[in-house]
Amino acid sequence: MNDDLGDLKATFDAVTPQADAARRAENLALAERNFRDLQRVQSQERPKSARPLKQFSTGIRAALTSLSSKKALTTTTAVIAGGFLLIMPQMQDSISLPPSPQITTLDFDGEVTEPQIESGPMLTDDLTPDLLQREPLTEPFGEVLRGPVVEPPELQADKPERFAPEGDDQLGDGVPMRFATTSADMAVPENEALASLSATDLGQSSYALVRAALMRGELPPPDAVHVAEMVSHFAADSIVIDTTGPVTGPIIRTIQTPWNANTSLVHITVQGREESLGVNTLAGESSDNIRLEVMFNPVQVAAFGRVGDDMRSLDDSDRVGAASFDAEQGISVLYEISPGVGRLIETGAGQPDPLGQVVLHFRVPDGDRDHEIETPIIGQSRSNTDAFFAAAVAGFALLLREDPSVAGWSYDEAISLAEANRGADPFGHRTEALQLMRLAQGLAE
Amino acid sequence: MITSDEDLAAAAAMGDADAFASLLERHYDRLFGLCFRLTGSRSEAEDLTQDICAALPTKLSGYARRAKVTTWLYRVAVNAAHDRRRKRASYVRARDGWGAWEVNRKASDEATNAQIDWLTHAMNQLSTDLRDTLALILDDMTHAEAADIIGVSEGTVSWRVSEAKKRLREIKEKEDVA
Repeated sequence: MNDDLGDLKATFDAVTPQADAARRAENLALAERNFRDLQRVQSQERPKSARPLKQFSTGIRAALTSLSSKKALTTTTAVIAGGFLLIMPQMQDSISLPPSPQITTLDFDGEVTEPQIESGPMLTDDLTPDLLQREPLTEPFGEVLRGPVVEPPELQADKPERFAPEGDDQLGDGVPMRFATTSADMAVPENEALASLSATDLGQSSYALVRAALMRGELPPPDAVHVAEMVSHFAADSIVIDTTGPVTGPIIRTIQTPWNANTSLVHITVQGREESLGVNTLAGESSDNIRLEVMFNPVQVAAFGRVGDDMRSLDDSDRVGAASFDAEQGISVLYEISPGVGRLIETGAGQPDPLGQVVLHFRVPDGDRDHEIETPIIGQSRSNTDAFFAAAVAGFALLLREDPSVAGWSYDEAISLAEANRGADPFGHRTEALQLMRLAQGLAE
Repeated sequence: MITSDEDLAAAAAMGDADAFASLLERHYDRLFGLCFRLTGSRSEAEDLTQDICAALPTKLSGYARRAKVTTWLYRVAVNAAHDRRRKRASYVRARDGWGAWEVNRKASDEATNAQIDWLTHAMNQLSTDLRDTLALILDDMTHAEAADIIGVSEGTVSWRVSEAKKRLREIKEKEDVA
């Protein structure tokens, strides 16, 4: 390099700044994240065409399709029929068909129809849990943990005592704002029963057992029916959460319990989405990144419990029903609550004291700190399809369990409620739930 | 034993995240320096380096083992600088000047300030092609390497360097006369 450029280079070297350390770290992290994302995308299998492969028969079909004149169709039909006449007598000697079972099926109105001859594995007596294990009926959608069984508190008659005022947490009239907490995280005592719906034991899940039994023409054993599982299965995956905001929290609806005029149902849904949430996406790489915490206000709520579990008083702080979910699939949780002292405490601006709140804890991918979204549980909500459908499924499951809480309710009412709130049903699960309800109704009667 | 740049790049192209991180860590500062020479602005250089980091994983698939990593990396940088200029020109009446030195003066002494003023003045007398070519040559690239990066013939690079020198001499002569 001669002197001209040597001077220029020396000048450049003198004035060239150092890269900003923070930007340097950010840019390196960005590149590494993009690299990992690219590897993940490339490792996924490319979508395959659903178009069937071309076979010998494809050409025959194409030829027949192109033969549209009356004479040509008559000739080809006659040739094919002649061929069948020649071949069939020999085939009848060599093929033995197994006898098909006779199944009594129900139409959509729940009426018993004439016995029909059906075939296929889904309608035979061979439909056992073992078969279901080999051929899962649906994709796994996470796990549902059931809480411990405790003695039913006699709270319907006796209201719980108020908490003593504590520190600064009290409202204007001396009533504390302390909430009882249930946790839907993974920190559940080890001795709690685990009803997992993972792929390995889907065949033993409550949904699969109920379905298999009803398709066999039997009512399932009451103990095999788990209400929370049924609600989660039928009401979770079609919930769409509004993603217009930077972060979408849980959707909470409170409705009147269809089978009990003295209680309400709190329906909580959460669904992770991978798209459109930007940096705040809930699409954690593992379910450990997401935790749901439910708290009830003892002033407004005397007792609560996951539908199907025993209700408990608010001063019982045991951890109860728990659930986790991954990034792509949602959760649907239904709590039954009984009212508290019946007072609506104004917290300002005419807003009633909430029934409680739900806190969604999550950590963004590669994030180093937890985020929280707090959503209050308010009183009766507007009509909500998802909440009512979840209630219909819960009531259906309780009916199968022969639970005394639904003694005054019926399959007919469950079906009507589900039908009225089936919604778009993009996955067809709600329609399937309705069919199972009708099967159960026919069998029960 | 230090793994060569080419081995790291080959491993990264096969999906080795550690190799990719090591490679980028090794070359980041030099890459930033080139971006600074291409833009003349620290903030622009930071943004350009970010653009390159974001796109580099995808670009990596185009890396051929026969090329030196620095050559490939600089080609990505020069192309990214061109893209950035085009984007700016699409919604801002592009100031064709070079540098935003009012934020880059890192020394308060008059000698350095005089150097900066002269550099800004000199670079603004050159076309974009000449500046880009000089940015590579001043990074100790040979004419052949610079030609490979920019995508022109080696003769074109030599002519551009010659032209740049001539302009710089003219600037000096004018300053001496003044």
